Amino acid sequence: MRIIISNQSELPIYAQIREQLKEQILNGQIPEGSTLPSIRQLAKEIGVSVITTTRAYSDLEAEGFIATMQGKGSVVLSKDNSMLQEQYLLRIEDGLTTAIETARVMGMPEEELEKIFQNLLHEMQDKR
Amino acid sequence: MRAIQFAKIDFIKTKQQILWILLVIPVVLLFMLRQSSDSPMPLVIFFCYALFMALIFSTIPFGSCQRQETGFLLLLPATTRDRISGRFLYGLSYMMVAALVGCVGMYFDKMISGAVIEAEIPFCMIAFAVSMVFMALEYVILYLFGEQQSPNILSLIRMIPGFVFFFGSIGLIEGAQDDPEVTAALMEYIGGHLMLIGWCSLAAAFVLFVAAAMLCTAVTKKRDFG
Amino acid sequence: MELLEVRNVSKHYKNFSLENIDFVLPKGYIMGYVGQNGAGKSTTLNLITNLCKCSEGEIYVDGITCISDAIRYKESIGYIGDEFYYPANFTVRNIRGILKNLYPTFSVSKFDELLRVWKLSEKMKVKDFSRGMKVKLMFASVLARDTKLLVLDEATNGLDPVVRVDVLKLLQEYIADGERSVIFSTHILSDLEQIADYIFFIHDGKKVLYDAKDELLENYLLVKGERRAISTQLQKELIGIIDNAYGFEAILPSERADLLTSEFHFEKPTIDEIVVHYIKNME
Repeated sequence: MRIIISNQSELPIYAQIREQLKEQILNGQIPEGSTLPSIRQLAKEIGVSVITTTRAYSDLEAEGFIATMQGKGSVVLSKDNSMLQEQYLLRIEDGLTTAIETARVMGMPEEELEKIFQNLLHEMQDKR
Repeated sequence: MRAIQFAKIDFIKTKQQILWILLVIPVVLLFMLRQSSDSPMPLVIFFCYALFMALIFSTIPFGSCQRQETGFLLLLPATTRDRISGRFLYGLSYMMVAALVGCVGMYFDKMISGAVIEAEIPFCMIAFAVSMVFMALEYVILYLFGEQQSPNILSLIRMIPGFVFFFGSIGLIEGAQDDPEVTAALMEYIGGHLMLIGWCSLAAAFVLFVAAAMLCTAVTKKRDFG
Repeated sequence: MELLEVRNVSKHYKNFSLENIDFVLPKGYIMGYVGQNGAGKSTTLNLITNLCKCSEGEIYVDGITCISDAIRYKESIGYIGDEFYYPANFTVRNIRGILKNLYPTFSVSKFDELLRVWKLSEKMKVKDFSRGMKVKLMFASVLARDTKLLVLDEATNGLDPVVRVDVLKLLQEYIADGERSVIFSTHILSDLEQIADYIFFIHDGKKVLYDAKDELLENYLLVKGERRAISTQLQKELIGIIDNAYGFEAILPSERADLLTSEFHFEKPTIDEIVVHYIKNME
């Protein structure tokens, strides 16, 4: 687990924690079923306030990434729960939307965009 | 007893100044011994000297009561009464030491020169009582001004015993001259009941002392710091 | 459960009044008490430690007032001031002796452990300590016993950055079990800002802002731009406009972000910036 707080970031600190944890849960760096450090523990380690950390955790809980159980701490949920699926879908849509918008801004035809998409897919497959 | 802890704080705080004054004492003693070998000096004077020293010692903590120290002293888990009793205890302990020194001095004098000291004991008792009253008076004035103001007026306060002795004795002598008959009768009575008067003055001084402590506590309780 | 409750507290002096201060600090959190010099920060903290008595109102620490149980009230508070409060000719040993005899929960072994970690000599007189050592000694004497509330009055003033970081860690460790709280006053938040859960901002003896820090930061935007671009409607919403030769800077409630056109630059403010503009607004 890795959390870097930046004062230059436009994101508030709780959002930085939330996004970084989310990222690491999504890409598997934090495995499902593992327990996150307690709110107070984390706040102490990264030097931010307890309320800030609490907010990051409750956001993650609301989005279905973790579940907090009394006395057991916060556990990373498995990836196939419906809430998480939705999150994945949202991320995919987000990424693609950005791509489409950028293409529109520079007036790229849709076919060309599709081509880029196909090429990237192939490239990634090759890498594997 | 929390009061003892506060007395201890006063002792540690004033250790340095007192060490300096203690160095002076042997010189004074030496001087006095020389004096008394020529013409025997009443021992009660020696006793008074010791008490006078104690009186000066007893006010030293008031001089070093820094404002920032309140963050430590006033936040200790104790009541105002504990704190002020501690200060009174501190002062009283010097009186006790002075009395002890006086007694030991007298005893040695008796051993060496064979002086008859018994006659002087009531006078010593009265001296002790008077000193106690002086101390109580000084403390009351210092606490009335408040612990934050007291360093500024301390040198003035220390002159009180001198003033009172000077003007008091002048007044007494004048009074005695005005009415010689009463004075003679009074002197006779005093002469006859010296021991009783000694004990009575001690008791009265003690009562006054305790009353002064209570008064100081009441005054300080109402006061704010900061 | 609230650890510190300050209920409608007022304190009147000849030329200064603290008026109707009212806030709570729950168990396990840190509050930053912010304001200019002379705004009433120390007065409030002195009322909490009961160095001064409230003219009106009550203060509860862990459910008790200084009137209901003065001794326990004092025992539950640990105070660290901006000035070093031990008498100058005391040694560490003297202090330990006094504390041990007066505080039932004072742990000599814990005190010695902290002295060892911070390399504070037992035999030295405290007047020969550096500012950093003095602050550490005050911390050691407070942390070596069982307290509920830490009161820090400008305690990090004049500390070098390394010691400041140490202090931050100490405070966070102090509240880590969720049972104890910290209130600290300061006129420059910067380094303490990150660990504060709540901010109380006082000006001229009166409350200006009091909220969870994250809420405050989210509720305001720092807006910059050219003066002439400000519409009359925006003018009304902007707080504490500070002009310079080439533009202005001000605070805007986030809910009015709709008033901002692309001509303006906006970013998230720091607590200090919010405070500066609020004070400007009140002048």
